[in-house]
Amino acid sequence: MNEPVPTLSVENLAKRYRAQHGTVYALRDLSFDIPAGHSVSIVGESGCGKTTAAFCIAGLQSIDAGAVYLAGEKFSGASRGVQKRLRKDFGMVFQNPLSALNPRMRIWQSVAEPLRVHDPAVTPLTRQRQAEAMLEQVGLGKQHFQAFPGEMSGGQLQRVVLARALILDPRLVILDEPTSALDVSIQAQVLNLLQELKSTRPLSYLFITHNLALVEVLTDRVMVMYAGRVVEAGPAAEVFAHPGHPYTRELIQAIPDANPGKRQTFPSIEISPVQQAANSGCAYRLRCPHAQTDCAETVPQLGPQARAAACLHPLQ
Amino acid sequence: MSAGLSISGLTLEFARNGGWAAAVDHCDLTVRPKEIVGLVGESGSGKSLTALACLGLIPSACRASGSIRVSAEQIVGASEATLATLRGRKVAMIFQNPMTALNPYFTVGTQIVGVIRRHFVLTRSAAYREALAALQRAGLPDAALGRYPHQLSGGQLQRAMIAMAIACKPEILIADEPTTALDVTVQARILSLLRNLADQGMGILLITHDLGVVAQVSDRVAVMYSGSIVESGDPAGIFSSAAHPYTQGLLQSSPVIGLGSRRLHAIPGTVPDFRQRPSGCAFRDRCTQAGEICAQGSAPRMAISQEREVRCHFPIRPGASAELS
Amino acid sequence: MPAQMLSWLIAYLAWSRRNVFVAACATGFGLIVLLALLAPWLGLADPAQIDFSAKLLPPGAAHWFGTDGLGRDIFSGVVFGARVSLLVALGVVAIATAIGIPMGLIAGYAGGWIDGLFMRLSDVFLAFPPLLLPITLSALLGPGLLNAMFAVAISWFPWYARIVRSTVLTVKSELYVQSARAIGTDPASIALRHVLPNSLSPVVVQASLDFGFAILTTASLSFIGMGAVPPTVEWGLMVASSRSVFLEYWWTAMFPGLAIFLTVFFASVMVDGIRDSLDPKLARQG
Repeated sequence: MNEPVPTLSVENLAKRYRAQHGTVYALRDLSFDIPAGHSVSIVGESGCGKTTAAFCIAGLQSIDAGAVYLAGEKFSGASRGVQKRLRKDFGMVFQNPLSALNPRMRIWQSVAEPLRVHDPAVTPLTRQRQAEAMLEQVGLGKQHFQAFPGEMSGGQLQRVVLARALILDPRLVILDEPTSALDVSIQAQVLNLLQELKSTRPLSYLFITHNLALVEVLTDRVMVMYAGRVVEAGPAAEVFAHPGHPYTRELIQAIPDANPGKRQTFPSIEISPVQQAANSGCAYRLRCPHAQTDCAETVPQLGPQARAAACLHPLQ
Repeated sequence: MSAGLSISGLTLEFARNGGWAAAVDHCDLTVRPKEIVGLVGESGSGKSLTALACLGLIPSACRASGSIRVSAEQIVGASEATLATLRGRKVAMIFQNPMTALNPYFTVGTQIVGVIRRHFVLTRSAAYREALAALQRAGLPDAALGRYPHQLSGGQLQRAMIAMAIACKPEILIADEPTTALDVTVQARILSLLRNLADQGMGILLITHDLGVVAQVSDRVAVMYSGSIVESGDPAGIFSSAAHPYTQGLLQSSPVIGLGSRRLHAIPGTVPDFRQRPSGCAFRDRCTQAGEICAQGSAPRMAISQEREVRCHFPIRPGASAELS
Repeated sequence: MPAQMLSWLIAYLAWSRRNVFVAACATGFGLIVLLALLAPWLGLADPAQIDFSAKLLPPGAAHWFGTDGLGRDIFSGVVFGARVSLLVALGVVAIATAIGIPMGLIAGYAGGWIDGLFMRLSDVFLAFPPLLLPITLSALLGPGLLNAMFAVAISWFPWYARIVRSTVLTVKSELYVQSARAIGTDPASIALRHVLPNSLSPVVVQASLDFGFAILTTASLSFIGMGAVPPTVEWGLMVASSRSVFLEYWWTAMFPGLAIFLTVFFASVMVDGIRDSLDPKLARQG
């Protein structure tokens, strides 16, 4: 049978940097699909490559290997015209809402920008009406339309960025740490808004975050990244309940539990940069309590199954 | 109580329209030696300003009244000379962003030695030995002494800042969001370090917005909203049955891993700017329990149990949980 | 409209109370500009009118600032000279920014060999000591105020290119520029709508300061014979023509000199004050 084309398809994406001691891979062998209507999270700590992945997929950074397909059409490496057309189909929300908006443009103008770029035939007045309608949909009232970004709070600004990302009715929204800069109570508001939007339109999210607790709120599948590679992938609930990769387990155990009854003990020794990533074999082996000799020789591969861990000696 | 930190009736005000607006309004807080007190609040709560006040570092535009005592010495209104003898020696502070708190032009060792020799008359070699001891207590290798800040990772920088803060063995350590900018695995280690420091005798005021952090390492909790402490007490009690609607709202809107996809409980509205606070209780516009009396003056402090206090006219009774769980 | 202007006036007065010195200088500058604008209608004597019978008269009722060696009324000369100086300064800044801003924008935004080319070109100009290049160019172009204006503008545009370029480099990597790229905006549009407007604030400050310096530089050029030529009335020229007599007849050099000094001084203080009150606002927002 004909499978419907996935909204986003990423194949073997890689990004290199030249450093003093040779080439460093910020991203390597990233492959996944987001079927229409589904959402996927990428989690990891700083330097794991998740933000690089977001920027590479969005075409904001050049890639060194692999390809990105949007609704079946090749996006990476395509001509400027093709890329511009395909950009109508995805929007992007960034971590810092204040710097994601031009400080000298009123927020309705920022939201109307995609309309201006892709549909020059539309009159400015119509653009303004459409932008204002979109702003209302994300919960901002009339009093904000003419405001400048500097006059609004972080939570409000993130709604503006969201409105701009959605105004062309895209199929995919890439969310790069959208709530990291926001307070807990505002974060809840924004996440609820994202949930609501997803349920009322055919929308998929690629959700990048370092906060594992947010994954299940927005997405069904999760990919855990470490040192540029995906080390575990699968349905979020399963991965968190029964992690296969030791790093996933370390991440889960490090989250402070908001239940004082369950006192956790945390390790106290510093993770030195040397221990952050090894050069040969499995990158995690220097930190891994289960590392064995073969871990230094072979790079574990992530299997193609729906639930997989890139580990030679997975847990369970 | 002579040792430790004792804040009483602290009010920090900024000039506004010919009058004064209080960013921090009559706060009371104590931190005893060997205990970690978690001060929870979001932006606009006044927690960072309170922290700065404990070291006499409030901006000149801010007027302070009330009392802050560190090991029996009064901070509010103290002269720069007095403050200089106390800072680093009796009370120290670590900040959210270690990259900007350390001077990029000097090695870690130089900066720590500088603090030590400011307060103690020691030869350079003796001071270096003390600095090494401080580094070890903070979990850094000796080699860190000769490193510049840009050569260290985020976690190491935070430890370096902690080493600098504890070099003179202060009684009180004020930690303003020390792990917010760090990865969760690094955060876990820093929290463990703070716990060790407290066990060795230090009193720590841990300021954070992360309820998990507070639940795991603090002995007592104080919740701050828009300039006032609305609830305080032991973590187990507060987290299992919060008395103040704001605390409960915070707990319910904190995402927890493993609870699947569900709509998060969100407190409607936003924190008011302290210059434009509603009269009476600052939280009443967002509160599900608010009544008419809430508009007239702030609620008095009520003791719920021996350990716990709440500032609310309609505190939530234990057992009466809210509709959402 | 009137309500808006009234609120501006009130805001200005409130601000003046806090910054008395700056406000005083701004008022002084404003007066000079006003005088310059209204000069032809003030019923003054013709500043170029030569009258040997009235030469070298001290300040008095008939001639408030006295007369010079050719009997020309100095007060008139100062007032009309203001028109010339202010206009020329405006011209210098306008031309320098008109060339410098696009150059800096293109160099900063495009980068690569274009950046290299433009910057090396600027380096050539920047290598000269500040007054030497205008003098040289003036000498090449010949005397005359218009030539002097071009000479100074050409000497100064590289500064603006530099300033704009360095701001553009920072702005280029801002998240809202990345956003614009993510939307699909083409580079020219990004440069003009997002990068340029946010790169102009340092230019505004520099241009305002340069206004004062332009007055000084043109006066200096006129003083050495490179700028204005008679019958143009210009402050520097007035000081120059008083060279041989000013020791005995102090007013011939004093008043034009004072005019130069005060205008440049007021303009500089005013700009400093404006910049200071702009900066904290920007810092607060950020």
